[in-house]
Formats: sequence, structure tokens, C-alpha cells
Amino acid sequence: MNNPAVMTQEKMELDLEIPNSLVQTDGQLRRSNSAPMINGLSDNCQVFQREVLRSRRNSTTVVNRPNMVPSSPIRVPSTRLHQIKQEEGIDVMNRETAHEREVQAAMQMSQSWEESLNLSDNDLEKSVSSSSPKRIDFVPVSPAPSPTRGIGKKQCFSPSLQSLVSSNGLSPSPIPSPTRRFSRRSQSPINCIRASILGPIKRKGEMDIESQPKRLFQGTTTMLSTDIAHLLDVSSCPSPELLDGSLSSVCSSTGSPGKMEGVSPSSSNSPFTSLQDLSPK
Amino acid sequence: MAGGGSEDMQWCFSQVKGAIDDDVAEADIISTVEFNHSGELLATGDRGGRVVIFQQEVENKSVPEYRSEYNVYSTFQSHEPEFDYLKSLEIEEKINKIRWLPQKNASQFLLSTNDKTIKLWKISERDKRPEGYNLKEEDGRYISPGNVTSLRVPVFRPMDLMVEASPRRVFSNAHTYHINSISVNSDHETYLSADDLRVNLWNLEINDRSFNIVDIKPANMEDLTEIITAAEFHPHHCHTLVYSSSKGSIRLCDMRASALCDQHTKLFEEPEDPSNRSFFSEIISSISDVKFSHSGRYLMTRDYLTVKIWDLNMETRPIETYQVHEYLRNKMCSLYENDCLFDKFECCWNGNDSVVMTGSYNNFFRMFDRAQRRDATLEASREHNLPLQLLKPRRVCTGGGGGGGCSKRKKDEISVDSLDFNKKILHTAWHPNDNIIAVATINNLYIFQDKVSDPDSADDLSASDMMCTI
Repeated sequence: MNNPAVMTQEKMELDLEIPNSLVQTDGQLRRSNSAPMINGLSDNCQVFQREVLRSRRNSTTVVNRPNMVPSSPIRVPSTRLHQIKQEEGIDVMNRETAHEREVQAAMQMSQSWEESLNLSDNDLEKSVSSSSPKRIDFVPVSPAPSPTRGIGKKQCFSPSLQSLVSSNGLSPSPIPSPTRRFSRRSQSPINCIRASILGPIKRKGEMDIESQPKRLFQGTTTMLSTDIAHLLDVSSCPSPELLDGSLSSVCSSTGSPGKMEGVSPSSSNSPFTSLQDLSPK
Repeated sequence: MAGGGSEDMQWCFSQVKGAIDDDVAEADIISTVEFNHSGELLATGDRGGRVVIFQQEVENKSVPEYRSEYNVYSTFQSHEPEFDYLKSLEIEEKINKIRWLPQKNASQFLLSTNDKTIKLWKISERDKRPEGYNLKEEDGRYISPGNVTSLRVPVFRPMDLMVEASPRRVFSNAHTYHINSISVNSDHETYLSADDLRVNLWNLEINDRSFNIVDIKPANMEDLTEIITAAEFHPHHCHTLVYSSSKGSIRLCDMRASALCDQHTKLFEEPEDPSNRSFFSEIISSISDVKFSHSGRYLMTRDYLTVKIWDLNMETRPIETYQVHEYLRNKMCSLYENDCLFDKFECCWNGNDSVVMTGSYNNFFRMFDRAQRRDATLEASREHNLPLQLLKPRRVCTGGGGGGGCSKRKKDEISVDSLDFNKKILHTAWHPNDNIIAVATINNLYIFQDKVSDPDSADDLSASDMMCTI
């Protein structure tokens, strides 16, 4: 373990701090010099879970495991430090492209996984022709906080009854008890749509608006149309109007909890205005 | 090593909270444990964004060794999962930290935080409710005014105790990165919140702005070499705070020196032992917790393998270093593979700063008696849970050879290879005034108390408090 080659590589990794394996997710940057560009596909369903779970950050554990480089001798320390650098370092366009590739690859992988499980010919033909996965294991996005749960809402507990009660002390409130098990979060189509539609559309408010918007808009138009087709099949959403409705509601809502700091109203409006141009499509 | 003479502390089981089954739901995983300033209340936060508060019932004063029983006093949903639409990222509702405010009136206040938002909660009791409305029935149905024939004045009547939790302030949108620490200042007016790169100062009354007092974000992110892992205010000096880094250094800042405390006043750093240098040196030197002593004179830090006590007057090296689980030093490859090397253990002081405690694997936790120079390894397990049952000290034996190296195979010994690394104790808390400790395994909360050496009181033990399920 402690041989000079290892130490050298360690030094390189600690100093340069651009992990080789992470580079592979982005085809436009440097190639890794250690392993071939496999692009991260494998038969392991677990890998797919990890990829989609990437959106669910957990700063206390390692994220973004470089499991795409099977022949790498040493795993890069994927600490929180590296995660922050990766988020801030790669410019927005490449990061969004990389993220889109991940999602696409993951969906393809899930589709091929489903196909390989199908035994009958009928199903195989159907799945090949429709080219839509029968089941997508999206990490279900929990619904946005209910408006009644905002500030000012009291939660009352009765120690004698050992249960939650409503604030007038009479009947139990609809607030779930602490023994509730979160084995599966809500998987309503709305939530799936919200997670995936916003995938290709996401913007970083502080980006350089002057030089980027047109190029970015065109890029996402292409992605958007194909993705909508995919997602409509997946979540069996009735019509594109629903999507537009949810889009415009996202655009116009100012009190949404997802609003991040540092985004001045002027800079955040321009990407969204270009989105609204898209909706009548 | 402990468990011997009369001056050693002996710990016995008191209670365990939580579900018994091994199938642990993600949301039930305990993520923080904190006593309030009197020790009467014990708060836990979990990954599901819920806070559960236990209250100590001071009964059985005639039975001295049976002084503490904590029962559920309040529970509420503190944080909900959110979605950052701009970055297309989920914001977890996991409660990272809870900190109590000192009590000023009948209500209790606590701060709870997830990765992005801090909330101030007011916990208040209600034991009366108004009855006898003219236009409303007792069950809430409205009476039509035409049916009212006489008027009465509503009166307050006693009711079953109800504990209300209401959010009084929401401090949001101040952290780009993930909040890892909050700390209430000794002035009781301000508090700090720290994320990976910044420390912000808040006033408890004002939630729409905060001051940034530490910012270690470099102009060029390529130059970033370390992040902030924990921060805390000095217990007595309202101008002093410390923050620890992922490289094993602690910086003390004095807010009187300047508005921005990017320049530290003191830097506590121990030079690395070159013989121990390895690929994992930097990872295991990352400080996961930092705690001032109650006296304010000392500082305790926890990194992966050790607990270190620093004297604030000496920056060059710690005054005491305790090995928590040195036997893991040869296992770091596999610990890295299963991500255990990134576990963030917390540590705590006892009330008079004579003993420190921290967690380990296999549901073991370690205590270091600073005065007596003794240490103990105890286990939080479901197996030895008779009321007031003494905890037997455990030992981990290393060494090669067949049989795991435990030559005598004593019952209390376990070999390193048999340790269960999924059973980790990351969060522990010590009652501020008493020898009562709360130890959180993955989804259970154990409460232990020290054995009062009174040989006469052996009766009146009720078995009803063996296990309490929430």
C-alpha cells in the first residue's frame, strides 16, 4: 500500500484535486489517463440508484462515488471538500450537460435492465418499439411543504395521551405521529415531473447571463423536447399542458421554499422568461 | 480498565427509547441529541426532520438511585424536505443540530437546523382551556345565533397537559453550503451558524439578515484546501468563537478584533507525526466535533481516532490525547471502502469537566476520566437491559494469529474483525449537572446513569420502564 507509486498518485490527487474519475462524467473536459472512458454503465442496479441519488446531497457521507472506473487502483477521496470544488469549479454549462448525461444514462440503464428481465417475446418487442422504461426508479421527490405547515402553525402533543393532538386539545390532528415510517415517499406524477423537468432546465442565478442565454436556451430546447417525451411516458402524465402549468407556477411563485439566496430578481427572471416562451409549444 | 475500585464510576442501564426491530427506517435514524441547560429536558432530532423532547420525571426521591426517568414530553415536525429548484437538489430535512436557549420564562426555546434553515421553536405548556362559548359547542360546531337564549362568560377550566411547539422564527437563505453547527452565544441574544465555508452571526430576534463573520472561501475555488467542520461560541466570553477544519486545525476568533474574523486570533494545530503519515492522514485528521469545557478554559476536539483536549493558552499541541479506537488504524483501507472513515463522531464533557465521552463502533462508547487517567469502553445494547443493570466494561482485542488474537476468549472481549461497523454511536450527551448520559445508536436512545453506591436500597424497582416505544 505504501509504495512510492501510490504516494505519488496520492500527492497528485491531493494537490490537483480534480479527481480523474469525476472527469469522466463530462465528455468535454480532459480525459482520464488511467482508465478507458466507459461512461459508467454497468449491470448493477445499485449504480443506477446512486446516480439518481446524487441529487440528494448528504454532506455527512461520501457522495459521487467514482464507481465508473473499475480499474482505478486507488479511489479518490471523495470528501465534502471535493464535492464543493466540483460544484463550483466546473462551469455551469458543462455541469448541466454532465448531469443530463447521467440522467440519460441512468434511464437507459433502467430501460435495458427492464428489457433484460422480460422473458416473453411480446414484451420485448413492445419495449423495444416504445423505447420507454416500464418503471423508473426515480428518487421520489417529496412534495413541497404543505402551506399549513408554514411558520405559525402549532403542533401540540399530549404527554398523557402520548400522541399528537389538535391545538384545541380535542381531536387528533392530521400531523403524522413520530412512529410513522418513511419507507417510501410520495411518488405522485406531479413530483416526478417536478424533479425531472427541472433537471434540464435548472439555472444558476449567478451565471453570466450576457454571454450564455441564447446558447443555453437552444441547448435545453433540444433536451427538453426529448425529455418531455420520455417523462410523459414514464409518469403517464395526461398532457403537456399539465407540465406547462406546473412550469409557469414555478416561475411565478415568489414564496416558494426553493428560492435560494443570492439570486437577485433581475437575474432570475431572464432565464425564466425564456422558459415561458417555451410553454405554448 | 474501569469497573474496579470504589472511586470509579459505574454505569447502569436506565432506559432505552425507540423501536426494537432491526429494520430501521431511514427517517428514524437519530441525528442529534442535546440536554437543555437544567438537564430536565432531552431533545433528539432525526433524519425525518422530527424533534422529540423527553422530560425528566423527578419521582421516587426516596429511592435515590432511581432518580431519572425520561418520558416523551413533546414531539413535532421541525423541518420538511425541500427542493432547490435552481440547483435541482433536494434539501434534506435531517436535523443536524439542536441547541437549547437558556430558560427565561415558563416556555422553553430551542434552535433546530437542517442543511439550510434554522428554526427557533417555542415549547410551551397548556393546562387550561376556555369553555363555555356562546356561539360554539364544545366540539367546535357553531351554534346559530338564533338559538342562543342566554349569555355566559367563558371560563378557563383545567385540561390534560398539552405541550405546544410553535415556530417563532425561521432563519433561512443565509447559507450556500450545508450547515454543520449552531451555537448560542453567552449573551443570549445572538447565535452563530456555520456551514462548510462560512460562519454567520444572527440575532435571535431578527431573521431577515445575518452578519457573516468568517468566510474562508477563496477567490479561486481551486485554492480551497479545507472546510469548516464545526463551530462554537465560548461559554462565557461572548466575543470568542472557535471553528475547526477538515485538516485538523482549530481557529479561535475574537469578534472585538474586527468585523470579519477571517484572520484568526489563535490557531491550534498539532504538528503531524511523520511516522503515522499515510494516504488517509488527512481524512482522519478532520475534526468532526469541537466543544468548549464548561469552565471555558479547555477545548475538546474529536477526530477519527482520537479525542484531544486543548488548553486555550497553548496553541502548539493538545494537553491530552485519548485514543478512542486505535485498533482501527490498520483497518483504514476497508473503513474507507465502506465509508466509515468519513463518520462524524461527536464528543461531550460531563458537568465538572472531569470526564469526556465519545462514541465508537459496535455500539461501543468510550469514557475518559481526565483526573483519574482511566478510560472505559461500554456498550449500548439491547441484551443487558434489566433495570439498573451494571454495564460491564468491554474490550477490543487486536493481534493476529488464529482465533482473532483474543487468547482467553473472555466474554467481554471482542476481536476487531467481529466489530459491527453499522452499529455506530455518533451522538452522545451528558446531563449538565448529574451523571446521566444519553447515548444514541442508529435508531435507539439509551439513557444510563451512574450507580449510586448505596447498598441498602434494592427494593421498589418497578420494571415498567424497561423499554419505552415512542
